[in-house]
Amino acid sequence: MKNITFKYSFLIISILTINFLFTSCEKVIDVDLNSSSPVLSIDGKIEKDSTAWVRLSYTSDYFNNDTPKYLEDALVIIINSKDEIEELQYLGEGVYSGQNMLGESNETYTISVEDDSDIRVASSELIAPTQIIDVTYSESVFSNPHSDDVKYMPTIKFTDDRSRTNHYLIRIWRNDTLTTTSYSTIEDKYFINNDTIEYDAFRANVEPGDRLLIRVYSIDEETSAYYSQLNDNQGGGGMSGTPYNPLSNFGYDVMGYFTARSYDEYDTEFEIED
Amino acid sequence: MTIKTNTKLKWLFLLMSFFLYSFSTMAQEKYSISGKITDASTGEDLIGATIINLNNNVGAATNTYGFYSLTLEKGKYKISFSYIGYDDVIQDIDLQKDLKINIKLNPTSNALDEVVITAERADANLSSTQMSVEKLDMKQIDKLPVLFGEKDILKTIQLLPGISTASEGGNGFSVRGGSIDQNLILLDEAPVYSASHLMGFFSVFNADALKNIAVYKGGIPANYGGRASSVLAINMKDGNNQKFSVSGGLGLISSRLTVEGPIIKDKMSFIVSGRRSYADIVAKGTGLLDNGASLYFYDLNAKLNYKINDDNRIFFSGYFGQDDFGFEDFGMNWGNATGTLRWNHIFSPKLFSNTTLIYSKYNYGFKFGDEADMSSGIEDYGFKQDFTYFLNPNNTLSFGLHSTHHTFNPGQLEFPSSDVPEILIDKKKALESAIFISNKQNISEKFSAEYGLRLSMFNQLGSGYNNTYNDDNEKIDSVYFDNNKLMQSYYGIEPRLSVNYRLSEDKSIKASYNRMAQYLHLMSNSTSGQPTDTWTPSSYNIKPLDVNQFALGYFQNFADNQFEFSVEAYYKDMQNVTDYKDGTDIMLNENIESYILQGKGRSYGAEFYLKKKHGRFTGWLSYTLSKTENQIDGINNNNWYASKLDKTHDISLVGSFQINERMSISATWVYYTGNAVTFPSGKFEYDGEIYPYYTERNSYRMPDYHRLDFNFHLEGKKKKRFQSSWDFSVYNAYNRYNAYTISFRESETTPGSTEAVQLSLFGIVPSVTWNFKF
Repeated sequence: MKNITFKYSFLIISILTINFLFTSCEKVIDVDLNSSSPVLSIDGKIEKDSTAWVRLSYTSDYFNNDTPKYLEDALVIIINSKDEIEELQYLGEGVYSGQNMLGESNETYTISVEDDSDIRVASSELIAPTQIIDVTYSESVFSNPHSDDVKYMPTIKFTDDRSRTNHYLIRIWRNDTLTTTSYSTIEDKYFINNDTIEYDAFRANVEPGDRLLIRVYSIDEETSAYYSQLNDNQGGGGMSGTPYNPLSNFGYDVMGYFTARSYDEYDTEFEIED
Repeated sequence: MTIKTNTKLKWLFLLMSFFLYSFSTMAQEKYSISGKITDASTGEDLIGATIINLNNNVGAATNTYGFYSLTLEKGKYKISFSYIGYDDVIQDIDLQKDLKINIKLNPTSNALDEVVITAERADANLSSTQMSVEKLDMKQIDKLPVLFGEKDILKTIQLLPGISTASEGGNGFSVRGGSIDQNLILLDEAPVYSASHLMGFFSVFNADALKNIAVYKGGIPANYGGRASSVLAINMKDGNNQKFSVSGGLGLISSRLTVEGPIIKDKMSFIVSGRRSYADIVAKGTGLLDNGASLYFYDLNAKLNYKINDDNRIFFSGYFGQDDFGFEDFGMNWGNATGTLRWNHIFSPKLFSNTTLIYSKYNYGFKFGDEADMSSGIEDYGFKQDFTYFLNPNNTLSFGLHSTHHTFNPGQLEFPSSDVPEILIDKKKALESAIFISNKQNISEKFSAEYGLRLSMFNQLGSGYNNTYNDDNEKIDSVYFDNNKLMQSYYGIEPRLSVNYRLSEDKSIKASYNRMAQYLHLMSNSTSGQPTDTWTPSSYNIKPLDVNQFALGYFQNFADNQFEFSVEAYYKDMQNVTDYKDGTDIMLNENIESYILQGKGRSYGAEFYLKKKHGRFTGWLSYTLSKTENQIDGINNNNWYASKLDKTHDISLVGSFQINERMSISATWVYYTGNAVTFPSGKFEYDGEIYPYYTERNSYRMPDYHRLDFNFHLEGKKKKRFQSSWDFSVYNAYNRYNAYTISFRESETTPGSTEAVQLSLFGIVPSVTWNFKF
């Protein structure tokens, strides 16, 4: 959480300051980008009580808006800690899906992807899910105090197993739209913790009447690091650092990641109590 | 080059031999004329004023404290004391013994003649052995157009050849391809670690409190060290010791006020100068900002000097500045504090001493309500002893020692209202020391040289661990060191050499070589520098940065020194430049050393400079053609790649025209090639989102940048004591939206397709500033 929180706090303050003082302007431009040789991209996951899901595709030129090329004839296998194996079935458009093996807490899963040229393997631990206890709301610190259009910030209270270090990903859908595509990840040791964590979702500005779906994912440390790297992935010069490819758990020559995760969700309509 | 052997001490032996040879021919009975040259109206020391023996045109110049010494054979002389912008004083002197002559020069009465870019002697660029150095007069800086009308020395020096801006509007600057942490910024000899206010858009230096600045890009004298690329030496005013005066101004972003005057006339004076931004006050008043929000910076410069007698003078100066940004109890702040206590002592007419005690601190912090506080920074205590020995008109010897104790605070995260354990990254300590000696020698009428040697030493001190890491950044071994125990040492032998051959009255060629060792590193992954960047010492895992720089220049003046032209070519070889492994978290990372990659770099280029120094029209044209590359194993498939600060072409055109005694107009136009950046060569999909895929480091360019600014300066009608003036500025006069960032994302209007988005910060920005003085 620490790096994410500080990084975004600083970013938010910077952006607000710059917006406040300067006449910034954003526009879509043409940039002539080079082509690159396609490399394999693996987007794989298994969630608690669900079967495994993997999409195999290749990178394409950045401004090529055609459907990416898929790897359609791979052998994709998932193995759990008990060495139980399932071969995933190809469903089309690069998607391979399991049929029987369901994700279980405290299991480590390994995905193997084999094609004509290579075998790629990655593992991830499925952490037991947290439980969302309550969601409360307060006026957002970024709300304009002189506007009638007041924004609110949800505070999510959920359980935390203090016997181990836990990592979480929080995602909020407001009226069926994800409030941010950035990954808000936290580590429990940076929170006041009495077996629960209270997380201020200060980047989610909500209004009365909004329909909210809140999910708190339990993820392993490596997955948390990967999500953090995805956030860094889109640089651009100026104040930002040099962008880079997030490091896949399949190795250096592959994009994407395999994660095992669980979540609890909270579906509610935000109303202000009189 | 830093070394762990002493085999290259032969350099020292050769140098000392040369010294002995130089001095062996000078055993004749002579007397010295020495003293200080000051401004008659303010009592300020005049730096670089010239003292010329008109019988043979041999002379000397005042040092940073206005002190001069000229040794001549017994006899009668006509001596000229001069400084551009001031009336000359010529005295007949019968030199039968050592003489102490303090001179007060009166500013010239013709206001139009005051307009000068540099106050040194007319052909100083030809006669001085120094090359790659620029000295700017504050009067010139005052009239140049700048963003929001805020006079800014860091933005002004970016208009000079070889010095380029790191990002638009920012104060981070690159000198001959060096990164921003390779610039040693000294305010009255105290290092300033973060020179920016307001996320980098304004410098911490209040121009009203400054006397002069000098920036060394190469041929750096031996008394400076610790940074690889440049030295920016800034001197604060001493304070008017003749009369009280108040000056200030109201600007768009900030207001400023300066008070100075004598405490004891001719002996003791002070200056206090403060600034505060008020964007937050305006915003709160207009309802744009909540009353609980803070959004401001302020700074305070103060200086006191006391002339105890002709041979002793003490100075105490300090700076304190702070930025505060927050919303309710959530926000961040950062700031510098520096303090300098100096004692000038004249041991003899030939020996001048300056003893300095230095304090410097930079700190930043976050606050998250009552839940968490974070702080990080660096704190220095330093001592400098500098001697200047004016051996004879042909040899001026400088020697001394410097020592600085650094304390680095990489970061502390505390949770005051809970039992969450605090995160304390161990503080680090180091002692950086150096001894140096150099001689400025006129070898013949046409040939002069300045040569010297700096021996530097850096000791990292306990307590702490020397850790060994594997390729996965995991600690595999640790050795603990108790408090103040030596953890790691590095030594540097840093020769410095500048030579000047005067081809004719109006032409000279110069060459220089310097080796610089840098033991401090800025942990930053932004190009322009941010307040959250953290300094860290060379250590068991981080080697010092070493730079060798060679430069060759041709200098020519025209039209009775009205115009100066120069072209300088340089080559820099860099060892142990740093970068990071992908995905490195710099903040609060206790194993940050394991993520640092070091390699080599090179920078080379040519700088063309045409300057008009005097008259109603002054200004300059500078053009730099350069290339800067790095090669670091682990980055870009181990191939050479362009530095983020690499700019092929960089042009600055600066002009100022004095219309009449009350009005002047200035303009600047800048053009440079866009920085080297990393853009994607492809894309991949993950979790329903599209992400860029990168193949090469810094293989693309930001769009070329150009901008025109204007300033109109209007002096108010002169009243008895009260003087006022207006500055009307237009930044980016033709309203070009230059690219600040270019980012790549999935289209908001056409989901599934991708687009490049350019963010520009500034369109046309008019501003007005009112200045006053009484």
